[in-house]
Amino acid sequence: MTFRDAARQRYRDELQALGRDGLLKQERVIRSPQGAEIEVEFPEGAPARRVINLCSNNYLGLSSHPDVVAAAARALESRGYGLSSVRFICGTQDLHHALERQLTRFLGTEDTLLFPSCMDANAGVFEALMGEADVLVADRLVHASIVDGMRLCKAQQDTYKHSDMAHLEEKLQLHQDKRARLVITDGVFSMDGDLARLDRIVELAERYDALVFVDDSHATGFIGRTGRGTHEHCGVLGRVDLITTTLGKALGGASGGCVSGRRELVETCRQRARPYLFSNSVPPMIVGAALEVLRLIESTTARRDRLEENTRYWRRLLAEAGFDVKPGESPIVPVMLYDARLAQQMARDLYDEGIYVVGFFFPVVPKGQARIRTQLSASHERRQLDAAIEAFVKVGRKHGVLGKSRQELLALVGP
Amino acid sequence: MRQALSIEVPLPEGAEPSPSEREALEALLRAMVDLSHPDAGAWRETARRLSADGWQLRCRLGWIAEARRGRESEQAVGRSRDEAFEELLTLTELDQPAGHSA
Repeated sequence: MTFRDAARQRYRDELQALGRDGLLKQERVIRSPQGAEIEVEFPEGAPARRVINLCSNNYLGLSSHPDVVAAAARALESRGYGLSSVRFICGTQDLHHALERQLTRFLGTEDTLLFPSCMDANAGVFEALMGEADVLVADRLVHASIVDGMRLCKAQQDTYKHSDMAHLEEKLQLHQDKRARLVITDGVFSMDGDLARLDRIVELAERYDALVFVDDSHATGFIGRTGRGTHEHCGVLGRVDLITTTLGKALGGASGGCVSGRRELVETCRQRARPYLFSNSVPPMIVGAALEVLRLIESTTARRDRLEENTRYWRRLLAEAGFDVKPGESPIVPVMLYDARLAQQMARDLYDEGIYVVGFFFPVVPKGQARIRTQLSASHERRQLDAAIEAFVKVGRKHGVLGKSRQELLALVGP
Repeated sequence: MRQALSIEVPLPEGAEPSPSEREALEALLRAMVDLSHPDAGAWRETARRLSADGWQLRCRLGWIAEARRGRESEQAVGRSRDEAFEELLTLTELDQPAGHSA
């Protein structure tokens, strides 16, 4: 069947419109393993150059750790490449159950179920657990995968203003007539890097008989004293009903995710969650590598401690240099520029200076909130952060942004 | 096949119904036709098949609220306009562009 000219033209027009609006996403080709420094070929075909990487989710620096790679290779040798099956037909190996047990222990929950990704976990969990007599009450800045999962669920949907506990309480009071209430939040919000007020959320949920769901993808492995996540940081270990998280960020960075929490809820997901039921098992090498990642994380907190130090150091360097930095504790450190063109131009100039960062602007963040999002890793060395701040200062000076307030920055670029 | 009969009733001279009045008038007339001719159309056969599959059926009148912005669109249903718009608001509040929260 031919691809009709009219159809082709329609998609060409749409892509051109994305380009005109500056929304076209371009992949930069990396020619090295993931790490604090990477070799990037950009634009494609240009000679690869070594740059300091400040935009990956490789928080603990384990994506290319030799022990993790070796564990993946061992699993590949001993259990094969793939399972050619979903879990419940003939796709569950001993490694899958071992990883589910380890994750349960690490997260301090009752049970865990692996999914091909956290995106899949979020797509399946709500529809599996909540029905039309129930209500989902979500923070307005939750991850896109949660939004998609909510839309697949028949329960009534509602939202509360970002991290506004008075508004959440209002909504929980409003929905007392529903059979069940599920409060939904990210643990760490990925654009601003701020943490959910989980202690207050859990307190409100207990008062108004609601369940609590947390997507801790940007927290598992390093937030909290032993890296268990936002629930550990906020002192509510064992009081969060459902946690989804990913193996695709701090925990090795390959892929895979899970739902972890109350035994009956997880078992219901095992019986009903469609992304679990209808997609293949997580490959053995990823499962084997994730087991090694958990062993490394549990044997010492050195990596999450170094990440914390790096984060503090980087925040201090930026603030002292006169950049406008969103306050927070997580290794997501947004450098606020407010103007889209400025954010794009500075990101390009920083790349020329050997620093790989990305500018984010509307519609990814609200209008007038453009920024460069920097992300720290335990594998960053001081010399790399010092080199990065040197480049930031040089580029910041060039654009005259140092020491400027939001109003001054906006005045700088004009309307 | 016989052509469906339609009835035209002129509005009083000078009457200028607002868009929402026209919407209400049309919905009211459609509802009256459906209720006074319960055997018209194919809905009974569809309902019979669904019942045979174990579905318990209920059909109600309601409001549909729609929001469009570029290629984004949301649609919500409610028993009242308030309810439909409330639901529409929630859906738009949850709307997130591609790339958010990567």
